[in-house]
Amino acid sequence: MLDLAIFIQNLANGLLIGGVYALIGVGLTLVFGVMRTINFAHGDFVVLGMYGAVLFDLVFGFDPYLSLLIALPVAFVVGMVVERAILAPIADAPAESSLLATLGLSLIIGNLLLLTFGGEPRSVQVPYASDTVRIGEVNLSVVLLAAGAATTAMIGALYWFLERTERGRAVRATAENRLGAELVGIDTRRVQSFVFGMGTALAVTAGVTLIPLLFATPTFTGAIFTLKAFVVTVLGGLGRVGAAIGGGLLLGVVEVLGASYFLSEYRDAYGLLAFLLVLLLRPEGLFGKTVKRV
Amino acid sequence: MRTHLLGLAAFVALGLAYPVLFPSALTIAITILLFVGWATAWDVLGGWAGQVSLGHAAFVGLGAYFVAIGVTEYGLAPWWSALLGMAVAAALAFAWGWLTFGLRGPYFTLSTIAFAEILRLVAINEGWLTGGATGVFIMTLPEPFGLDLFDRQTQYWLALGFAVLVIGIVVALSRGRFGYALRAVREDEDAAMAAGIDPKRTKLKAFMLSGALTALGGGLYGIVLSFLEPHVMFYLLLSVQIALTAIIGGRGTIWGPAAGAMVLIGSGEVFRTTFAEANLLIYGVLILVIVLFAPRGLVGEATRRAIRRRYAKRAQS
Amino acid sequence: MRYGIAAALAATTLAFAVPAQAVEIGVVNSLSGNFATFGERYRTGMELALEEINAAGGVDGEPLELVWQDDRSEAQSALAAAEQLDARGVPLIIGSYASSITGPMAQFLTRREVPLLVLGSADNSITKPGSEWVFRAKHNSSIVAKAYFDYFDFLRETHPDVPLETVGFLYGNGAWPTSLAETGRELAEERGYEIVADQSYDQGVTDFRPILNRFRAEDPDVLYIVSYAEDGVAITRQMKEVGLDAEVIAIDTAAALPSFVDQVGDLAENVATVVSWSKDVQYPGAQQLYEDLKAKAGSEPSFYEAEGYLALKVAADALQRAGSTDRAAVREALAATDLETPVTTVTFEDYDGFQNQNPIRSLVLQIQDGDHVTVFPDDLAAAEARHPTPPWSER
Repeated sequence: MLDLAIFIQNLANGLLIGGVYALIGVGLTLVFGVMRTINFAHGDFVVLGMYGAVLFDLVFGFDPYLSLLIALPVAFVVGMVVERAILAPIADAPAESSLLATLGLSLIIGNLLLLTFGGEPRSVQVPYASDTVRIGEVNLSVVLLAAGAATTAMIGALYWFLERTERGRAVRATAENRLGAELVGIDTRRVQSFVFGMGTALAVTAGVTLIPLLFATPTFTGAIFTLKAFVVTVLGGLGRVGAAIGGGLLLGVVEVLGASYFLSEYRDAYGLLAFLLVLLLRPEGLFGKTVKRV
Repeated sequence: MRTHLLGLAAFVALGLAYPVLFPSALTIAITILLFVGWATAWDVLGGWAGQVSLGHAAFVGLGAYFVAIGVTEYGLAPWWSALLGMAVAAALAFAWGWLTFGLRGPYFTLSTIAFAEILRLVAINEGWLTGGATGVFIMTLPEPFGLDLFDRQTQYWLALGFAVLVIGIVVALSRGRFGYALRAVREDEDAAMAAGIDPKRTKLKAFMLSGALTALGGGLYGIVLSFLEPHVMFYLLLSVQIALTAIIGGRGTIWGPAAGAMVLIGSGEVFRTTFAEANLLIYGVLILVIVLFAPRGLVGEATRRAIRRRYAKRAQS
Repeated sequence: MRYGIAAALAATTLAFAVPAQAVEIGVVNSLSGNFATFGERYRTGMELALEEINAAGGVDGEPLELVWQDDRSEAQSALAAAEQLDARGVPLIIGSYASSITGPMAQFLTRREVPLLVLGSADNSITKPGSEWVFRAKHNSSIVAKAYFDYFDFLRETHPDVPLETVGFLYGNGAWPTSLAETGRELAEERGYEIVADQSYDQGVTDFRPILNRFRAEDPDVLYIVSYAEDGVAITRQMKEVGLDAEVIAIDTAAALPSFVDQVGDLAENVATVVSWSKDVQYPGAQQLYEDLKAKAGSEPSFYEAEGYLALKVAADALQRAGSTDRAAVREALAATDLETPVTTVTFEDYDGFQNQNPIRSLVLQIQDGDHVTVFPDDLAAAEARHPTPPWSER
């Protein structure tokens, strides 16, 4: 039964889906790295991106990818505002406060969407939804490839930003050592709201990329993505961008291969089991360097 | 200690008066009492030992399923199967804590989510064990001393008993050696160790107690619903709700979780009947408001103000 | 003092109570939360029925009123709502959508001896074994699964040249998909279909490629798929993507919604699905009902609206015949129901372990040229079934 062509097919699908997981995970891990906040509304920002694309499709009727032109800057600003209004004031409160605040935010986003759009699952119908590209024996979905391309572009841009720009260095410095960063004159409060804006923008991008592929429901879909993002970041190692990418790809492959060759009804459990194993055996993550003692 | 016993007495008095005042709103009171118990039990681990769990629905589900399967498959009386469920919950908590208490920070929290999710998938897929995705009905229950366990009145008294039991245990603990050990571990593990406290052992005990008590409430919850589906019993949102209730009320305070349950579940019911479509939204806003303006939780904040006032008075005189 | 408070509270509760000369029916419905979509549709149908009933003089000459309660898509709230409605003295309660909500409610209302008319739940377990207080006018898992296999048998007979020997089951792990798969499995064995593939999936995962690739290797003649809306669309799209062909493609629940055709376009052609009602079914008044529902909803109505309409019609009919709001009398009247509506005929019967279940005739719809068309059973069909389904490569 282990046909090589089918195996490669599954592997390719796993990697492409893993790419999208990575994109979602990167935003979460970035925010955690800098702010030490586990953002429970992260998945809801993904869903917000999906609904943005749906709205864009309803109003203008253009391809959902074009909506990124509007969605990206808007998401960035929304993220900054949310950070300033909700997270910054409780920065010095006990750690659970920010968790709680983002949980509240998640409830608010989901139910606002429910009130505006109704509970019916929404998607955008693109003409190429079921098209495939054939490479040798392998059929690759055009939508998945597009998602992969968008992921690569976004993560590439993020790397360039973090490594090559002054502000990117400030972000890395803040993540590495907040006090040290402040000592060398970095305004870490501004960095934090900037990073939260970026995290939001990444989540929204993932949402837009995913909408031709799957469906958005106001309250349900968000929780699923949040959970996936947790798994991805812990698999790789919390707070590290590169690790989240590795974790995302790994999760995609583990899920697809598990569902292909073992019991498909336990598909989600494969990711979770991998997550637990990593937590227990290598809590710093598969791609993390040292154990972070808090 | 005396204030807490007085508080407990007041709570019991309120509990005794409620069915007289609102004889036709018992379901909501049962829900509140269950959450009082769950949140207080959660707080033994989350507040006193400082380990935030977002997987407590696993224990609720475990307790409920033990009672349901015990009655329907093995003819086991619910009190025995609830005890069994508590024992299994404690054992699972022990194993889980043993494996994960080496982890610090958010890792333990995240692992609890995965723990509950895996149990949910098992409950769905292993139909021979749990009745599977289509659920289990509890159709008949024994009648101890002629009590009808399906009756809302009976269930109300049981729920009240559960809540009082859990709070009573916490009150007793708060002044005992174990309570001090827990707080010492929460404040500073290394210092606690230096004082001769084994942090891992202490946290394990807290987890086991917390899990077992939550499972007890779960068993009662199963009887109240008398129809269980894995999607509902092991629901992530239930775990989140239990934790939220305790944190909003005030972690590590004896009355915080109970107050949180009364305010949140109570107001949720008010919103359900008045604002209908927008109720969950308002719930979210409410949580945000509380976090922003009373970050120590309702009771934590109130206590702090009371203490300040006392000191201010003392400074004046 | 205590009595003063109690009296004040009692007064506020009573302030809501029955205004003179109106007959009330309690409704527990999901108006917020995960199932709000369906709740809205049921509400539309019930509102239409309410208008019709009151325009025709109400119940026994008194206006009918609905007392709405939101269950927030969760059991605990539904139970609190049911308790309130019970205290208010309504003669009958209609509710709710998910079986995880209706199940506990059925248990509770049976103990309180309040008649419950099931609104949306189709799980067998609600009326099997059921109770004397719980009634269901719509279908259940056994009826739906049987409709599918009757249809497959019918195709076997009418197209002997197309072999239908093997079947593949793919279903979500929720209560309804699981129970429909279970009953389907029994029927497959009974009627000589070989099950060559059988997979469930966790809802919310929308990458079905691994499963569909496995199915392709087993090459079933019939695909029996049970999914909610979003999963059904994803499955259909990905079926084409991986090239999974079958002679018959049946997708329950998802394919019955009008939005399914919008979302998958041409790929929807020839997909079969079972419903309790359709706009082109050959019942008297069905066409008019369709027009009215469409006007009321402001969009394409589905069987959900029709089921809401049906529930209230059945309830009003029973109240009328009971001649009082006494619950036992209403229960008796419900049990004696023999009603023809534009949705279906209703009688409540005990059979095969079911209690108070309407042995409703389910319809098989096929999507033809972008429209849902009734193709089975023969005497209710509006058109002939298109069979076999051509492979994706030839479309």
